[in-house]
Amino acid sequence: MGLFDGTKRRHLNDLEREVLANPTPQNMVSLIERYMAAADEAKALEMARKAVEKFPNSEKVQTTYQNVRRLQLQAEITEISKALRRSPGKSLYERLASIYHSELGNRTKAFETALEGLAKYPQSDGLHLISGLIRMDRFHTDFLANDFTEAIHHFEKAASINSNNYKALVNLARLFSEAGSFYKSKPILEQVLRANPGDTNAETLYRFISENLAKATPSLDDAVAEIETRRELTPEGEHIRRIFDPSSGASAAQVDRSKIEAFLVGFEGMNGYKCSAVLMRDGTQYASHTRGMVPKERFTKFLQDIYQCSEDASRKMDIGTFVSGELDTSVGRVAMAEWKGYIVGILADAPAKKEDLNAAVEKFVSLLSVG
Amino acid sequence: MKEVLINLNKEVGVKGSMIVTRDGVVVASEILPPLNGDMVAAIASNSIQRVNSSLRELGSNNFTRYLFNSTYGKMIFTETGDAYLVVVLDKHINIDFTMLAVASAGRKIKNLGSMA
Repeated sequence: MGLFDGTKRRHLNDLEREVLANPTPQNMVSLIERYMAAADEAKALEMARKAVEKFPNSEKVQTTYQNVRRLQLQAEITEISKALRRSPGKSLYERLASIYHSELGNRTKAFETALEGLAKYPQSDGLHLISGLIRMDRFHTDFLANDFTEAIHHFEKAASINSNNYKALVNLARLFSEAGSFYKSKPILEQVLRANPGDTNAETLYRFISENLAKATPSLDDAVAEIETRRELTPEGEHIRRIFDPSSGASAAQVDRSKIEAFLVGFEGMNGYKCSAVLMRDGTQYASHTRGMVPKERFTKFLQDIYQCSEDASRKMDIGTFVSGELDTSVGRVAMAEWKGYIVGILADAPAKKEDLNAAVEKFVSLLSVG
Repeated sequence: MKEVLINLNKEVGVKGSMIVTRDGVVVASEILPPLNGDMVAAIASNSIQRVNSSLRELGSNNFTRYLFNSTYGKMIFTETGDAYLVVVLDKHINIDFTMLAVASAGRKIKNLGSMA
C-alpha cells in the first residue's frame, strides 16, 4: 500500500471514530462520500441508512442517501426511462414512481412521475396510491389542509378503481381517523379487516376508534382547519399516527425564552452582526437582540413580514411551508431558518460572509436540537 | 429575454422562470407545467412588493436577492436592473451550481434591459 493510500485509510479511520463519538449530518455525509470514493457501496449504503434514521430532516443527508441509492438503481431507472420514451405504459410509470418513492425516498421525483403518469393513465390505482402516500407524508410534515384533501382524494380514487387496494383503504381509514372522523373510518376498517383479518395496525386502529366514538369530530372540514391552524394533530390523532409510525412524535421544541435571548447575545462575536430575532411558528415574537444600529422591534416586525410572505408564497405554490431563506439588502444580509417550531432571523453586514451567517443559523439549530 | 428564460429552464431542477418589474408587472414568463403561470406571477408580484415594502420600513433600499426554501421547493428572486428574475426550483438541487446559472441569466437580462 502506498503512502497516499495509508494516509487516506488513516483519514477514513479518524472520520469513522468521529462519527461514532459524535455523529452530525456533516461528518456522516463526509464518511458516506469517502466510502463511495473508495467504491465501498455496501458501507456507503449502511452509513447512509443510519444517517437518514438519525437526521431525517437534514436535506444534505437525504440528498446523499438518494445519491447512494441512485447509483445502485441507476441501471433500472435508465431502462425504465428509455422504455417510457419508446412506448409509455402504466406499469412503467408505477414502477418508476415506486423506485423514487419507496427506494430512493425522493418524494419530489416520485410525485412528478406519478402525476405525469396519471395525466396519461388516470385509472391507475398504483399511481393514485403513491400520490396519496406522498400527500399524506406532506400533511404529516406541514399539516396543511390541502395536502389532507388531496391525499384523501387519491386514496379514494385508488380504492374506487381497485376495491382490493388494501394500502389505499388502510391509509384512507388512517387519515380520517387522525382527523377525528371515526364514523367515516369505521366502515372502511371493517372492509379491510374482512379481507385481511390478521392486520394488527388495522385491528389496533379499529379498537381505538370503537372505544372513542364519543370523541368523533362532527365536522371533518373544521377538524382539518383546526389541525392546520395548530400545526399539529390532536392527542388522539397523534396516538393514531404512532400506531402506523411509532417513530413519529411532536417535533416542536420547548426552549426557555431567557436561554434563547442569552444565546442571541452570543452573536455579537460575529463581525458585522447587527441584530437577530426569534419568532414562533404563528409569527409571534419570542426573543430578540440588537447591537444597537437597528431597533429590535423594527427588525422583529421585518422578520415577521418576510416569514409570513415566504410562508404564504410556499402554500400558494403548493410546495409546503417555509424552511429557510436569505435576503441581500443595502443594510446587510439576512439569514432565516425554521426549526422545531421557531423561526430565527439574523441581520449582518460586511465583513460577515454568507458562511458566517449559515454557521450562526446552524448553532441555533443545535441549540434547539439539544434543548 | 424569453430565450434567456428558456435556456435557464433547461438547467437541472428549474421548474420555471419569469421576469417581474418592481411594481409587480410580468415582463416575460416561461413557467413549466404543472405550475400555473398566472398563479406564479401573482405570487411573485405580491412577494416582491411585500418584501420591498418591509425593507423600506427597516430603512433599506429594495432587495437585490431573495431566496426561500420550502419543504418541497425553492424560489429565487434576483435583481436585474428595474426588474427581478424569478426562478422556481426543485427542492433537491445543488443550489451553488444553479445559482451560477441564475446569476448568469440575471446578468444577460440586465444587459438586455440596459440596451433597450
